[in-house]
Amino acid sequence: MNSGILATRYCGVSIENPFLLASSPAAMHYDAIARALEAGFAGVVFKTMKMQPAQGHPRLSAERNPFGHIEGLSCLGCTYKETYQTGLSILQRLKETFTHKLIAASIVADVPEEWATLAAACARAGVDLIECNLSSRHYGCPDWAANRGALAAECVAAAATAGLPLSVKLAADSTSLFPVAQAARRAGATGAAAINVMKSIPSMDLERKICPPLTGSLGMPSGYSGHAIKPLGLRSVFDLSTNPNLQGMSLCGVGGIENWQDAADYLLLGCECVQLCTAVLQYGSRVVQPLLRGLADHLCREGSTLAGFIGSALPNMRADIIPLAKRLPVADRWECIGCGRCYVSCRDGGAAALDWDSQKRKPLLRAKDCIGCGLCAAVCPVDAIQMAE
Amino acid sequence: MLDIDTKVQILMRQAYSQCLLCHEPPCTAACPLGCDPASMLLCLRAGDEGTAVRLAHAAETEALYACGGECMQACVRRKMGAPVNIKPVHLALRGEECPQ
Repeated sequence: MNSGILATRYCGVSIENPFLLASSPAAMHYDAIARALEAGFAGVVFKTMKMQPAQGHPRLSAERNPFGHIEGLSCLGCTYKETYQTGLSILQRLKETFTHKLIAASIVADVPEEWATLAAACARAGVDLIECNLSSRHYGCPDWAANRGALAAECVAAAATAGLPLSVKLAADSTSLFPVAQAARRAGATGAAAINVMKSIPSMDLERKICPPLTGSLGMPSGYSGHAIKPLGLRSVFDLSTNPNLQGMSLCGVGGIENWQDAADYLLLGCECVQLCTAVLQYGSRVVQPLLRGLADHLCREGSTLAGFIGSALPNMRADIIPLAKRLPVADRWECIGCGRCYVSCRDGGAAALDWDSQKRKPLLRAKDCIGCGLCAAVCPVDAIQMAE
Repeated sequence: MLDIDTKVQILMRQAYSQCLLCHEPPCTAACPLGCDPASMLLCLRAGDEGTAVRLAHAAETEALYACGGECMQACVRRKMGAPVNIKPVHLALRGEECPQ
């Protein structure tokens, strides 16, 4: 593996590739983290630590598609179950063994004094970076969306006293994304990781009338992660990338990355690196190897460096919405298998611009009625319809 | 939920999720017994297992075992390589195993 082509930075710290293990249950045991780093991850953000070990135990439940693949994972999480001193001793050992990897701590605390204490302890343990978890949904954590970032600013300023590079972990929550990011930046954070889990209720149990993860007789809203939240993550990092008050911030994309193309999406929108959690929970840390190879191969094909690739989509993107030109569907009649789904969807959910030839089992376009929405192409099971600009 | 084995339910879900939910479905048009597999599969997709089970009982068991699987012969998905496994799903909805 030519690691040179994938070298990048996070908050100014050099890393050998853009793939980091996110603060999560995959990042709380020495052996599992060591295996992930050996498999190819460029670094780890350790499980979020508080002054006091977490009360209670985590619970996970999966939302699956009909083929059994996990689309999203609901988690009633908690912070690190051991003392922060135990966590930091693991981080210290990791740093001693994996000198070239990024070893980062994630912390959360209730009051600024505790943030300062934890950050100072991280500095003594020799960690490279502190991720301030300003989006933690764990039991007993502050409400970050309240008070428009004032609390975040106090906490980050306290953590900054330790002198380590600081990033902030953000939620895809329109009331907190910008206020918390801007306040954190003013207080000394040079990076941001987005997004944390989404507030969610994935489904309801019909008989027990509570939501999963089931907790006996009580249901509780949980945090949603996995491939289902990737579009929300991409939108959030795009908003951060293009916010004039946040220019120069080092961004790390998190949320639903399962393959190198997902990672590339975040990188194109300006992220200098990415973090994985749910993919590792599902497939193990070995999943990083095809991601490294896939991204490296793509950069070779494109003839670009990672530095050139990062943010290269931003000049082509606009944040406002303008009226769009009409385009028309072009069907490949050879590829069409005659299911009629385009006809049904256009008739009942579109402009009713398709006719149906029952004999030939083929759709026929009335171009004057078509509004160019692309619903026909979206529902076609064999991609036989392309939208022509 | 259907009163059948969890593993069978998982296989059934994978099978009926392959259905393309065709307009003017050829599977239903092809059935010599007058069954409506297309509606059965749509009900399963939309979670109405009760109606799916009722539709699955439209024909006699013996006739169903003896039929030539005309629905699967007509299935549009054959053009993508293989038909939806309609007959095994139909039999599973009746609590019977497919003889294959």
